[in-house]
Amino acid sequence: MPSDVTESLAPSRSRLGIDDETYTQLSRVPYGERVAAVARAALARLDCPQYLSALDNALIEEPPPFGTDAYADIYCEASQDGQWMAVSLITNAEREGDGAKRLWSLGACSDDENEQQQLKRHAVDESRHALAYLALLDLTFPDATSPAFRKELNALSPGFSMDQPLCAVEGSPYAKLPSIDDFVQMNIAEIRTALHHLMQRPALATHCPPDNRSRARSIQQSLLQDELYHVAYTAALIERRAQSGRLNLAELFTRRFHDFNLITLEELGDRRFDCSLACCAKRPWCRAKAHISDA
Amino acid sequence: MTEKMTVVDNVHVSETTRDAVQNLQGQGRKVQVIGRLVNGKVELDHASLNEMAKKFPNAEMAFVAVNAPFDPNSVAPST
Repeated sequence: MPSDVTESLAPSRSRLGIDDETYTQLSRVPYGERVAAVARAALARLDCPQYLSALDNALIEEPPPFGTDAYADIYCEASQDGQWMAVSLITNAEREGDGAKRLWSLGACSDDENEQQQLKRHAVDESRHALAYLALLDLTFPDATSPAFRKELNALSPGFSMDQPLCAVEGSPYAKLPSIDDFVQMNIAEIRTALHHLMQRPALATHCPPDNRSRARSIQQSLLQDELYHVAYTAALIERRAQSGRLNLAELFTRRFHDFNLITLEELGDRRFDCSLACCAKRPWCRAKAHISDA
Repeated sequence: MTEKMTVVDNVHVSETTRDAVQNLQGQGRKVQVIGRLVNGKVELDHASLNEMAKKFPNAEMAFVAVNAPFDPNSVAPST
């Protein structure tokens, strides 16, 4: 393994070996195995043993609901509704813009030049992704929004670029020195976002006018590549910090999967489900939910 | 010149926007999202919100992208 794995993550994403074929391969993986598969696809050319060990352990201890058939089924059903799909694209644009600002603040406060540049690059990517989701909206649902509202939506992207100097967003709780915990949270969240892209591509194709499908697919491919790159670079930062830190990485990953699993289920509201028998056997709150739904 | 505002589905929009929406409705398009940005946040019309609530009762918007830390109270950097 290189002495500093983050140095092997050059800005050129082609070095990671993530290409069109990656989508095809990942979309063939059963939903129950996709979380691990996404991480491994992102790390195809990186050696991060501590990261992978902690991830694998967490997937056993806290199986994520977003890696289940039930989660995919709910998405599949919801996404058949064009109105829902259009709002979903707008909401995703909004969240990408928010995330970009968090990363911009985090990057501004980093005392490590390498991390700072990677966080900046990431924030610029997410800023661009906000516009990419809006482009998908335009291609898939032409004229779904009024011109005035559509123009307003462009403001969801903070418009960050690598030419701009980093500075913390005023009042942001993320204006702080980044920790390994931040990178673990980012990594888990990025894996889920990549999984969403795998489900979103066929769903959007059903709504997209045939003439626009090729351009929509190209944007979606670019988004997936970026998200996998983000999984890879955060994994590399985690690996580097884990080598020099005193933290129990497996424990941290498990705790953060637990937190993010709850967030995921809360997002689903009354559609939350009991993710698996193994999960429900371990978690009283999962069984409690089953009793509520039985009542 | 300030545009005159009106209300469509409980959302304040300009008359230009209202006319555009009516035009879209006239064309029979199924997917229409009416809204506005308030302090950088999207505010959708009631029809869109109802559609979401029908699919996901008592839910936040599901299946959204998260790309940054989700808990600002992270473990200290030195640990």
